[in-house]
This record gives sequence, C-alpha cells and structure tokens, in this order.
Amino acid sequence: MSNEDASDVEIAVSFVTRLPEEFRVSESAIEVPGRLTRYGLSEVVNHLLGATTPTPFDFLIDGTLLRTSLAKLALRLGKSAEATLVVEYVPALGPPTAAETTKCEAWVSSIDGSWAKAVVTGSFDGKARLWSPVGKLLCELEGAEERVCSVSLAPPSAGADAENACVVLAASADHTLRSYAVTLTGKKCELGEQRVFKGHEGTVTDVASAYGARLFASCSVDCTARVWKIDGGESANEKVTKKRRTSKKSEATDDDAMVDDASAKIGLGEELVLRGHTDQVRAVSWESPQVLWTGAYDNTIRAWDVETGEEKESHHTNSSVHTLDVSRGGSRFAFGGSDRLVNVWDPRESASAKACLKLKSHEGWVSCVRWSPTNEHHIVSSGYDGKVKLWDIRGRVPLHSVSSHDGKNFAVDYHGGERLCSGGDDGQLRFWNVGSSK
Amino acid sequence: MFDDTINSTGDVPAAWYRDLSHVGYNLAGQRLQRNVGADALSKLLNDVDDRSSWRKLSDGLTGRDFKLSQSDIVLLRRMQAGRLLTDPLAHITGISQIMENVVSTTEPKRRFQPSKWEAKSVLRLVRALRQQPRRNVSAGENDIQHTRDIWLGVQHLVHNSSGSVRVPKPLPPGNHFSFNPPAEYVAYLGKSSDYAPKSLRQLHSYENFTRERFERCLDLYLCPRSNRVRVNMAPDEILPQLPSPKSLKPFPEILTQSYTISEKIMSMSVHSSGEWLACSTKTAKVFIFDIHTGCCLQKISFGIAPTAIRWHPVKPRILLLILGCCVLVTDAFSVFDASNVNFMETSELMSWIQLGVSTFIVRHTSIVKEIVWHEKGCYFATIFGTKSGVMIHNLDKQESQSPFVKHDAPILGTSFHPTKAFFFICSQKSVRMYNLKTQELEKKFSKGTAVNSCMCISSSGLSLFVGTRNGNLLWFDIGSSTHSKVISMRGAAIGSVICHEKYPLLATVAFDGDVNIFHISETSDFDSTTEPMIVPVNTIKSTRTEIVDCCRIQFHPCQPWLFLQRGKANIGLFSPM
Repeated sequence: MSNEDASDVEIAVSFVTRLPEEFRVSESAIEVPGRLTRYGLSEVVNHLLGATTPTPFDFLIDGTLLRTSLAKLALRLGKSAEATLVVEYVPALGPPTAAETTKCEAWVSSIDGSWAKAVVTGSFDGKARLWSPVGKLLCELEGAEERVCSVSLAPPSAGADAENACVVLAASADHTLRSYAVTLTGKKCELGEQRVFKGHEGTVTDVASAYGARLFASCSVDCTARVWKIDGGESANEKVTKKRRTSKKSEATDDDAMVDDASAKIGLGEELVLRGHTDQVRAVSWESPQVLWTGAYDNTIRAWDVETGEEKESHHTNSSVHTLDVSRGGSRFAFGGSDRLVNVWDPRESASAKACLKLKSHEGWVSCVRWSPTNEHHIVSSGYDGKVKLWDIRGRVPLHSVSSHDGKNFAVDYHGGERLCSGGDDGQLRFWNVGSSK
Repeated sequence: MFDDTINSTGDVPAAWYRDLSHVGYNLAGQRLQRNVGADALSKLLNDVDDRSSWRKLSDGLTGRDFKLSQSDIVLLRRMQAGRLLTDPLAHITGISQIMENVVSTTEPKRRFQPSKWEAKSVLRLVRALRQQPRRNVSAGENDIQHTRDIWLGVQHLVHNSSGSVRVPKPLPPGNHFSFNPPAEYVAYLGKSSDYAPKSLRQLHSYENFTRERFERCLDLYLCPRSNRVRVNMAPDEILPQLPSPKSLKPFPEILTQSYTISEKIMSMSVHSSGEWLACSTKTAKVFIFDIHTGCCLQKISFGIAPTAIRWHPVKPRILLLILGCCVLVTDAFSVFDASNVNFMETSELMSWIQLGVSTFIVRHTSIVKEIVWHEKGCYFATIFGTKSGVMIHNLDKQESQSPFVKHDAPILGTSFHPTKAFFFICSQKSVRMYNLKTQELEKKFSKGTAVNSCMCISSSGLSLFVGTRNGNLLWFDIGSSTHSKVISMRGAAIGSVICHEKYPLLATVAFDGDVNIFHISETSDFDSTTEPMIVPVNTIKSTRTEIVDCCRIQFHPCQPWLFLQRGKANIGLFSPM
C-alpha cells in the first residue's frame, strides 16, 4: 500500500482522555480521514467539544505521541485499518515564550530552580547568585576563589523556616564546595552560616543534594565522587584565618604549604569517597537517599550505595556522560554528552544503557538535561548549540526548540512546573514561560 | 545400409510426440511405433523374476527397449568414477611380474649400448633408398596429394619443458636465394637460359635483404627467453581485506567545539587530565582554556613569544615553555612576573636558575627549538641551536646532561620510549634509537630514500611511525628493525604524526591541511599470529583559509577527541558522532 493510499483511508477513531469533565467528548467511534495530523485532530476534538476558544491537544496512540499523520502512525504501529483506533488526547504544551532576561556579569555555568522563592545560578566569576522568580538579583554569594561549576539547593537545617530558608551548595574549580544558609524575608536576603567542604583534588564539576536526607554529593575531575553531610565541613570564618596564615607561609617554601594542605584535609574525615571511575566524573544525581548515580567521561554511569560506599552497578554508554538526571520516581535516567543525543534509559526496558531511547536533535554537546517536576514524560535539555529543547519521551522529535543563547548554553532547569530558566556563555539568565496553553 | 530404426525427427522435443501413437519417422519416412509395453503390474512381476531387469532401459528416441551389456556397465562405471574409458594397462598381463623383474635384476649391458639390430636395419633402409630408382615427379605429386602442412601460416613459439622459448626459425631459403636455379625456374622467371652466374658476386643483391636481416635481429632480440606466468587477478583481490570504519568507532568525526583567540597561535598542549588546553601566541601570551566549557581561564603575558608549550605529564599545574634560549618551568595558575628576566641571554654551560617555589629557568647555549617530556615527568629533552644539540634534563635533581654526540644533520624531533630506557632522535634520513643506560646507538630505522619529516611512538611502545616528505607514512616495528610497512597517501608532505594514548588511533596531518585518522592494531608478543593492521577511518579536510599552519594536532589524553588548529587563531575539537 503506498503512502498516498494510506492517507486517503478513513479511520474509525475513538477519543478518550483523563482530563476533567468539561474536556470530555463521546467515546463512540467516528470516521476521520487518515491524513489528519495533530492539528486536524485537535480541530475535530474542539469541534466536538463545541468550545468557543480552541484548545490545542496532543494525541497518543498506545503511548506513542502523534507527530506524523494518523494513517502513518497507525501503519507504523501495525494497527488494522478496520478496527477502531483508541486515541488519547492531552492538552498540548505550548511553545516556550521568552519572559524576563537579566544580565549576569559572567557566564552562567549552572542553574537550580527547585526552590519556589528563588533561582540560584553559578557563574564563571566565582559567585553564586540568587534571583527572584521575576529575575531580580537578590544576593551574591561570594567565597569561591575560582569559577563556580555547579550549584544545588538543599533544605535548611532543622529549626529554620522551611518556606523561606534554603541552603545553597556551590561547587568550585578551586577544589572546594561551599554551603551558604540563606533566608529570604520579603525582598531582603539574609546570609547565614557559610561552610567549606575540602577534600577533592581537582575541579569539582557537579553537586547534588539528596531529597529527604541531610546529604549531598559532589564529583570532580580527580575521578572520584564524594558524599558529604550538609552540616559537616568547616566554618568559612575559620577557613579565612587559615587562609591568611597559609598566604603568609606560601612565600617560604612549597613543603610548608603542602603540610598545611594535608592538615586541612585531616580535619575533615566526614565525607565518603566513591572511587571507581577511570576518568573525570561530570554528573551526580540521587535516585533515593541511599543510591547515588554518577556519570563520567569514561563512558559509564554508575550507581553507588551511599551507606557502604560500594559500587552497585556500572553501565556503559555510547559516549562520555556530561550530564545525568534521575527522574523523581527513580526509575528512569536521562543523560547526555558528547554524542549530542539526549539518552533516556529505563532499566526495566533494557538492561544495557547503550540500548536506550536516543533523542537526536541537538547540534552540539548536550550540557544539561532535567526531568520536569510536574510531568513524568517531559524533559528539558540544553546544548552547546545554544538551544533549549523540550521533549516528551513518548515521541522522538522535540516538542519545542528555542534558540535561547547566542553561544553555548550551559544550564537549564525548571522553576516550578511552568517556568524555565536557562543560562549560557553570553552571560544572560533567561526565563521562559511554558505550560499547557488553555 | 542404414538402420531403419533411426529416428529422423531431429532436434525436436520428445514431448511433441507424447500424445501420438508413434514417436517419429525413420529415414524411409515410415512411422516408428511406440513400444506399448505391458501395464505396470505385469512389468513389476517381470522385473521380480528377471534379475537383470535393472539393465533394461527405454530409448525415448526410438521408443524401444534395450539392455545394457556388461561392457556398457563397465564403461559407465568408469565414467562415473572419472577414470579413462579404457584401461591403459589392460593389455599388459602380469604387469606386477614385470615390475618385479625391473627392480630386482641388474640392468644388462645391452640397455646402455646402441642397438646393433636397429643399426643394421637402418643401414638396410639407407641402401634400399639409394638403390631405388629416381621417382617420377608426377607420380610423387599424386602421392602427396592428400597431405598438407597443418601448421602452415601459424607463427607459434614452441615451449620446451623448462619453460624457455626457442628462437623462431627463419624461413627456409626459396628459389630466389638459389645460386644455381633450376632451368624451369629460370624459365618461369622469364629469364634467358644463359642466366647462370658463376659466382656470388655476380648475383643481384636481394632488395629486401637488409630489412629481413634487421627484422631477424629484432626477432632474436625481442623474443621472450622464458615463459612468464601471467597472473590474472582482480584489483580487489590484491587489496587487503579491511574492516569497515563503522565497526572501528569511536574516532574523531565532527567539529563540536572551538577555542578562539584573537592572535596567531604558535603552539598548543592538552593537559594529561584532559581538563585544560594551553596555547601560546605570537604576541607573547599564553592562554589556558577549560576544555569542557571552552572558557578561557588564564592569560599570562611574557616579554618574548613562547615558541613551544608543554604541560607536565603528571603534575597538574606545571607548564613548560620555550622562551628564546631558555626553558621555563612554571606553575600555570600562579602569576609570575617575568619582566626582569632576559630570555635571549645565552650561557656557556647549561644553568638552572630558580625564580620561585616551583619556577625554574634552564638557560641553553643557543635558541631552543623543541621540548619533549618523558612519560613519568622526571625528564625532559630539548633540541637547541643550529648544530642541533640534544639535552636531557632531570627536573627533580635540576641537572642537565648531553649524552649524545652533536649531529651535523638537523634533528627534526626526539622522543622517549614510553616504557623502556630508549631515546629516539629523528633526522631527515633515519631515526636512531639510543639506549639511555649504556648511552649507545641501539638501532637505526630508515627506509630507502625516504626523507623523514616527523615521528611518533605508539603508546604501547611497539611501533614507530615516521612521516615523510613525499606524503608516506612509515611503520617500523621497534622490536625488529627489519619489519616495516609503507602507507602511501596521496597528498602533500606529512607535517605531524601523533598516536592516542588510550585508543588505537593515529592521526597524520599533511601540509595541504588534510588530517587522516587511522585505526591501528599492533601485534603483541602474546598474539603474533594476527597481522598488524592500519585502517584509514576518517579524513578531515581543511578549507583554504584554515590551511595556514595547520600542522598542530593533538589527541585528548583520555577521550577519542582530536584538537586541530584551524586557521591562524582557532583550535577545533573533533569528537565522534
């Protein structure tokens, strides 16, 4: 049967949905032309609903997103032309619309938008910055001697106001991690205790705090990942005096500085070192407070038992892993890297991480992937081609692709369910409105 | 008399007569009746009784049955076995006895002498011939009427058993060569009967004589003297069977990152951790990039342009720079004030000057050209001066030594062996391998008249790759200097050849800007059965604007990525798809 014939076929379709009552149509089968695409079916459903303002819908057949014509997808799925096709419809995700743009002074390396009150970014000038949800600079968190490679938000210590307080974790290229306790009162930002975590022997590339445990994990160029207690580390005030002392001594000899560094290391001993990777570890993500996943340049992603510090699993990937995110349920993994693909791996479907769903659209390295906090099927990714792409993992093509930055795009994250923020090497922090347009 | 059973239907399918009662016509034009045999049951019963029924066959052409005789059966069996149809030894009875006689008894003398009776019979024949009266010519013509020379006009060369070819015979002389032609021939030529030259000088010269002699000489000269065996081969069979590049992934394929500076790049180096890329520019600056993000982390200025820059292979932040006559060892991320040092000043002896905590200057006697690190980072070697001196420096002890005699030929490059105490010096004609312990020349690698331009040693230390001026790549086995291969590439002279430390990859860059990437598989000591193999997997072409100084390439130490200078002020990173 040729394609033209397939398009001319009339297909019996039954529309179902999980939407509330006002969006429901009769489930009885109606005949529609097979050449109809998403837009045409959306018109049909809107006509059936009798709505005055049309709502765009997306359509799913057997859990596959309709992106070609109805007949082509039915043919691909091996559906009989005689049987009634059950089509589920969901409200379509509108294209991201540019909202606020703020100028950050340096390149933005990382973004965390998991706190409703503020967005935190890490910059190449060694500062972490807090921004209000509308893009106003709240405060700058200084301290790192070199660029901040990654930031993460952790819940505040017990006793603090859980709504308005937070702990910002910043990983820096000066081999340290810093935590800043931040309290927001109205538009004022109060800085609390600042702690320093030393131990890494190279640039710290990523940091992630665990949900529901006072732990966070970091990874570094020195081929290790480390797990720290948020309340551990040393106070930054002590550290300043120590630094003053070392700077005086540094003129003397190299050996003295070495001894000083060594003593500083011995003082910690609270972190858990996860050794096993053979190259730079680039990404960490928590599956649960007990299991940590890391992705590295050595083409593997590995799972670690945080209680024992042992490697649980190791899976080979097709290329170096630069970013990794575990979905909230902990069952699916999205990772990207130098192969320019967004890989979505479900261990329940294939045992090998090489045979995963490969979403191909970026024209540069994939710098960041994040699962949507509200929709279990949605992913946002950013790439060195300056694009931000929204994906539904039930389809193979991106839902939307926006050119967000002139140069490379290093970071993207959801802020709430309907906002995106992205940053890159043009030093701009951009906010985007997404959401099912109703 | 013809057999009246012959079917005259000719080359006609028997199926045409299938429904007819006859099967054709004989030569007399009468129908040949089909042999209507008994029915199948009676046939079966007959066959059960007749033991030789299997020999019975039916001739489809004549429609008759016939029976194979015993000799037919023998003949068929011989045909099936693929033997001769008649047994050549069948007429010899008692052959084994003869063989026994041959072997057991001594050879009689008569076997070695010419036969007396044959000689006698020949003599008798000769006498008979002589006594025979001369034959009549016409009778003789009748006799030879039916014989003719079948080889007439066939210019053939006769090969003897040893394969050599005999010289072709000249044509026998005809009547025109005759000094005294017969009378009838003279009459035929229309010459007078008194034409009878008495000496050779009186003969007319033959007009084609010189030409024929010349052609005869040419025949003798150009005649092939041996039988050459010509091998018919398709070109595909001669080429080695190479695996497809797709099965040899990963290798660098596409440009994914670029690091741009506004100034002309002199040298670049990738740190062994794969984190930083350092490059020096003509405007006396050193830029350090973060490879992952492409961010410029550090910018250092010097009074003089660093011609070469190398990261320490083990220590994280130590950088080695060539500044005029000096080699500077410094910490890349600590700012170092170099304004009060004169780098062009020479010293008679090598001198180490400490400038800071981990900052040294090694002052040479003349301008330094190239530096090479040892894998472990304790030693580095420098090439300096117009006379091409080579120095080996110990960084820990801060000592320098010159273990090798100065060479007149300019030195193109040096290298340490990755695992053993060997040192390689590449000059235009050869690559010399020295043993550092005994400080003696161990081996010399050269191939014909090839003019070397660059070299590198594979990370396993088994192979030495040399690029040549005529665009070839030479592959030497370091273990045995006799084993070598030439990989010919159509293109310009090779500017640089590099090997990957972790992946079996090799890259060459030619002066026309083409980068060829190869997959190499070397033989190890444990597995010497597999042939070493080199497979071209990718070519990166440069555009015309990028060709300027594009010979600087380097592999990423851990990833299958390639850094390539593209244009004056741009370094591109190529990574797999």
